[in-house]
This record gives sequence, structure tokens and C-alpha cells, in this order.
Amino acid sequence: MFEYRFEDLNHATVLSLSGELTLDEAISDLRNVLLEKLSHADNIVINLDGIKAIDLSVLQLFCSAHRMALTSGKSLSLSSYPTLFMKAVRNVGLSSLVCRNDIWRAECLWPELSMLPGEN
Amino acid sequence: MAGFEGFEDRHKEVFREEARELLSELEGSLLELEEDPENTELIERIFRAMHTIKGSGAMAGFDEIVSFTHELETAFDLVRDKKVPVTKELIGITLTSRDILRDMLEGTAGSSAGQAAQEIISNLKHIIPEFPCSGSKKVQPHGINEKALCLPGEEKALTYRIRFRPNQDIFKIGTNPSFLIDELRALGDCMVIAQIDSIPVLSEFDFEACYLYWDFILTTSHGVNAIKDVFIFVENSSELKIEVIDDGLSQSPDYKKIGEILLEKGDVSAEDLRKALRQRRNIGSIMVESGLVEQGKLTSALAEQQYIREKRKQFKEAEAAASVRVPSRKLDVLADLVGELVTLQARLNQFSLTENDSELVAIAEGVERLTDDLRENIMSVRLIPISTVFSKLKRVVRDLSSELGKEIELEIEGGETELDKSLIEKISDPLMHIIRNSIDHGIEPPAGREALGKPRKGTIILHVFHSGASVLIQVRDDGKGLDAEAIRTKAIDKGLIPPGVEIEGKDIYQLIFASGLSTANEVTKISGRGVGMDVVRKNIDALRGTVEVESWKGKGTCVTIRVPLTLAIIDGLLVKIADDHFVIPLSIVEECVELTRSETVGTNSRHIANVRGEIIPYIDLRDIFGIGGTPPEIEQIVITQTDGRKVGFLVDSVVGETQTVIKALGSTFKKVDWISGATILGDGTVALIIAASHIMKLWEEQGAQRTACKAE
Repeated sequence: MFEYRFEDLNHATVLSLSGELTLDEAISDLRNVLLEKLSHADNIVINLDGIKAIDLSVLQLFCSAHRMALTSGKSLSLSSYPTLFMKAVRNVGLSSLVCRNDIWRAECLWPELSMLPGEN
Repeated sequence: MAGFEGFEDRHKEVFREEARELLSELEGSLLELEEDPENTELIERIFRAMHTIKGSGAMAGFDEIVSFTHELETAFDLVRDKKVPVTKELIGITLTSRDILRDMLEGTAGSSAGQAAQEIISNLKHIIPEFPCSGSKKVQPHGINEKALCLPGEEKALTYRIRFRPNQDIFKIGTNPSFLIDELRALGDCMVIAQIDSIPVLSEFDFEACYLYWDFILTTSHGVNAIKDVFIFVENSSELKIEVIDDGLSQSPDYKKIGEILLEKGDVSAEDLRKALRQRRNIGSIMVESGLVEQGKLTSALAEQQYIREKRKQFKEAEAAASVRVPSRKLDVLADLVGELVTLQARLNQFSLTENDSELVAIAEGVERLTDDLRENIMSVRLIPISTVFSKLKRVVRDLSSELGKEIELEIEGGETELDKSLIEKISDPLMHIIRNSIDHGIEPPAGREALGKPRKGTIILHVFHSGASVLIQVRDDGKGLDAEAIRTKAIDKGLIPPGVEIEGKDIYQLIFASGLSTANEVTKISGRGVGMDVVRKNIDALRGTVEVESWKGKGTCVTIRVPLTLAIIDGLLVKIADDHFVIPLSIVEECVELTRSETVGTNSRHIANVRGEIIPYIDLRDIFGIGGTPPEIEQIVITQTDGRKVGFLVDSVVGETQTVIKALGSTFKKVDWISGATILGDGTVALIIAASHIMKLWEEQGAQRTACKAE
């Protein structure tokens, strides 16, 4: 099960996600929610503090949403990097180091993780 | 500048030491290969020794050695690939090459070494038609070797580059790539780089598709099949590329250039790379900026470069930590210092007991424990296997037997037996001499052996084993044996024994160690001048060892050398005669028994004790050392066993066991062979260490003189 909640603040729309963000539980709904919000809001901040699991299907979905936001001149970012999220990112080898160009990398969703074993 | 030159000299010296060991290993392996030409493990070992000499030589600036070893390596590469068979001729040429390399290393041959090397190369070309022309292959001492040089059966960690691009439908078949990544990580050190360039914008995003793909750098000893097993269920529908990128053998800390890596991975075309290179700037940035390569691919290449450099650095550090090359004189100094410490600790012990202070006693005991551990550790560091001198001996057997037209096999048992390094150095020459004698005088020519019903091939067995605190080295041959009668005649001729004196058994053979005695009818350049066996005896005596000969006419000879395990410190039994202290090596002590004045009355001057029914002769050390005064009412006989005989030493009292640091007596006492050294006791007094076998000999000689005098 996963749940989401929107909160419109002055400069941003905060999307708080909780529960299990996985292929089976969330991916389809989450895609639709993000797609719908990106058509209205200019600045979306995703809050992951309440998540219990996250898998690579959702991570690549975030990446895709981030790309769409950047290509349409909008902003999508994460409010924090909870431990569980960091673990999943590191495990699948995502890092801002692989982002396509300097502008995107500056705003990249992923933390700048070194890939050498034993680091970070 | 002087500092750099000093560094360079040290570097060269380190290389020389390493190369000496490698050349010795090379010689041993070549001789073994001659016996077992199909042994691929030996071929690998030979190749590896050459490869290391070449690589390290290049770094130390020994260009002549590098280029010559390169040619030899080329020849053995063909052997490795089974394009060239191992023949006696090839082994012979390679052994000579090894000698030339040694001369180049030591700088003993001057310019003639280069000429000799050229001759070797032309000989190699002559026997190996496939041998490429000089210079056709560039010497790359620092480069990564394309072939993994590990020995068969040896599990060597290799580093792989893996690209895994799953089918986008992988989720639909119920597989999660995360699990595959976990499995891969379990195989070893693994670097994971997700490539995100295929992820579309959200409007085109199919939530059931997998857009990510991965580059992995994995270091594992599990082999390529273990990697393939991870992907076994998705292999057919995915793109999977596995390549070895580091075999762990490269001496260089550097790795490929970014452009090279990208080209190898197929992430950039050769044409695009050339374009980028023309701009002479940071090639990675240029290619990303101009859209020739994805940032993810560049990151992956950079990470690979960093990973391999890091691995090589770690490997170097681990290798340096695993073994340290230390000049043996430093170990000698360390052993001396420990010796001083042992002496000082004995004084501390004695002092603590007289002070009657329990805390001081406890401290002294603690220091004693530590000193014991330290002593054992230092001694074990100095121990090296005796097999280190064997390749030299094998070579002697090979070369001499072929020179003399004999067929001889050298069998070695117990090569792993460890001995003090300085002992090994000193035992090498006497051993060599004994073996030369066996080859020259012992083993008969093949036809002669056949005529006697013996196998054509003679055998020399070198057997090394521990016996208490000593090491026994036996050289046994199945040759014609010593001619006792000829030795006797020669000894009488030389005035070594008076005519008519009967010498029996082993004693007659001991005469071969007398100076100038040789029974060989002709003098060869190998032996026969009677110089040598006396030197053998002197060298072994100097090591506080003994040498014995047994021989069976027509069947063979056995020379047994007994040397102590170490030269520096021994366990001894401290005894006292009047106010003088002596040390008897504990390794020969069997037991101590009391001798009362009344018991000596019956046996009078015959010096015989009855120990539980066994008659044991004893030697009065008071007599031997000319110590005056009256012995106590109850004396002690320290019963020892040397050379298979039990003999007692009569002393006033037994003080107890002691750790004895042996100090040489200096040249003044050079001729006093019944003392093997001295030691300083806890209270600073000096105790002499007795050489039991020499005292026995002296006593026997004195006894013979006494008997002769009485007869007169």
C-alpha cells in the first residue's frame, strides 16, 4: 500500500509519499499523479520521509518525471534523502555523476555518489 | 641529486636481490622441466620468473637484462602455447642464458655478456624456426599482460568489465534486476553504474518497462562462469558483455586512457575519438559537449579507470605489507641484540631472586616470557628452507654428469626443512664438494654399472631431516663405495697412521677428511687432489657440526652432516667445576646421575659408571681443563649422547638449564677445538661451551697415549 498527499505552499507543491513505492503497489498510480501534477504546478517537491520501501521501477519513474519537468521549464526535487532511499539509490548504482549535462547535473535528483566499492 | 642517486642505488640493489632469487628459482624449474617436459605448471613458473625479471629490471634500469630476458620470454611464450616442444637443447640454452643473466646482474662479465647473449639468441633462432626477428615485438615491461599468468589450479582474482542491458520487458517476466545486482555484488568487489540515457520523459514512460541498464566493474576469483550464472535466466533476452580488464599482474599503477576505454566498450567510434583527440583538450568533456558520448558512459569509463588504479594500488600495498625484503645483516644485528637481551634478562632474574621482592620477581618473569617469545620469533625469521641451495646442486649434478659421460639422478627428500640462513650459506660449499666427489669417484660410468648388474643411471639421494636441535643432511650414492684398504695404504704412506695400527669400521673412512689424502688414481679438474674433504671437515666443524662417512664396497657411500639448527642461541645445561662454569648443549644431555667418592674406588681410573646396569664411560672435565682443587664428596655425571655413543661428563655440580647466547672466542682460541664458544652469565661471569664430540676425541687420544706409555 502507498499513500500520497498534496500540500500547496507559497512557492511549491509538496507531494508527500508514504508506504511501499514499488512496481506492484504504486507505480501505475504514481505515474498518473505525477503526470497530472506536472501539467499544473511549476515547482514540485517530493517528500519521501514516510516511505517504507522503494524499488528501481519507482526510481526510474522519478528520473523520468524530473526530465519532463526540466524540458518544460519546471522544477521537481526531493525534500530530503531518507536512509532507505539512499540505500536503494546506491544499490542500483544511480548517481548524479551519470547525468547528461552540466545544467541537468546541477539539478539532478540523485546525490553525487562515488561508485567505488566501500565509499559513501 | 645525491639523495636521488642513493634512492636509485637502493632500487638497483633491491632488484639484484630479487633477481638472484628469481634466477635461482629459474634454474631449479628448468632442471625440473628437463625431467618432466610436459609439466605446464613448470613452464608457467619459468615464464613468470622471466616476466618478473624483465618487468622489475626495466624499472631498475637494467636495460641489457630487460632486452635479453625479453627474447627468452618470447621463446618460452611459444613453449607455453605448445608451438615449441621442451627439448634438452632448449633447456641447455636457457640454463646458459640464466648464467649470462647472472653475470649481467653482478656485472662480472663486462661487455662479453652482451656478445654471449647474442649467441644465445641466434641459437634460439636456430632451434626455434617460429622465433620472431629481434625487435618485432615491443618490450612493454609496464603493460598489462593479455594472458592471465596464474598457475593452473590457482584461483586468481581477475577484474571484469560487464555491460548488462536487460530487455525492457524484464519486469513482466517477474525478474527484478536489483536481485541480479545483489548476486553480482556477492561475487566480489563490485562497482555498479546505472545508465539513465534511455529513460524517456514521463508522458512516454511505460511503467512496466525497465529503461535502466548497467556497467559493472567486478573483481572476483570465481571465474567468468559464476558471472554468467547470475544472468542465466535473462541472458537470451538481454545484452550481456563480459570482458577481463585486469589480470592483477601488472606492475604499473597506471591504467588505460579514457579514450581507449570508451573505444573498447564500443561507446565511441574510432573516428569520433580521433576527432576529439585533435582538439588536444580534456577528451571526455569534448566528447560529451559535442554529443559524441553520453555523460553516463564517460562517468563509467572514468570510474573504471579510477577503480583499476585503486585496485592496483591496494594490491601493491597488500603485497608490500605481506612481505618485506630486509638485508640479512639487519637480522644478524637483531639476533645479536636479542642475545644481549637474553643475557641481561638472566641477570635480572638472578637479581630478583636475591632481592626477595615478589613484585620484582613478577616483573622479571614477565620480561623472561617476552624475551623468550622475542628470541623464538627472531630465530624463526632467520630460518629458511634448505631447498634454496638445491638448484645449485642440481645444476652441478646435471653439468658434471654430462661432462663425465655419466647418467646420474639427484633425488631430494626434505627440501622444506628449515635452517638458519647463515648456516645454509655456509653449508652450501661443503655439500657441493661432497656431491662432486660422489659424481666423480662414487658413481660408475653407465656401461660399468650395467656390467655390475646395477641400473645404468646412478642415484644420489640428498636427505635432510630434523633430529632434536640438529639438522641431519645425508648424501647417499649407489656408486662403488670407498676402498677401505686403499685408504689405509694411502694413510700409512702419508704418515697419517703408523703402520700396523688397526683402525676399524667407520674410523677408517674418517681418514678421507685428512688433508692431502685422496685415493683417486688420476687427478681430474673436478676432484682427486685430496684438497677439499679436509676443507669440508673444517667448514662443518666451524658450524659446530659433525660429519661422518659410512661406505659399503660396491654398493655406495653415505656422508652424514649434522649441524645445529641455529648458530646464535642454544639451550644449555650450566655446570660448575670449582669456581668455573661450563655449558653443555642441552640437546645432547640425556640425564644427570650422582657419583660418590666411594663409587669411584672400585672402578679406579677407568672412569666407568654403572647406570641402572648400563656401563657408561665418563670424562672428568676437571682433568681436561686442568682445574686444580679437591672435588666434592658427591659429584655429578652429565650423561650425553653424541654420534650414537653415550658418554658422561664429570662435574662438581649441575646449576640448571640456561639460555646460552654463543659468543665466538676470537682467533687466539682458534685451535682450542674442544670449546665451541663462550657465553656471559647473568652475573657477568664467562662460561665456556664445551664441544662434546671434540672432547671425546681428545680423551680417546689421551687414553691411547696412556695405554701406549703403559705398554712401554
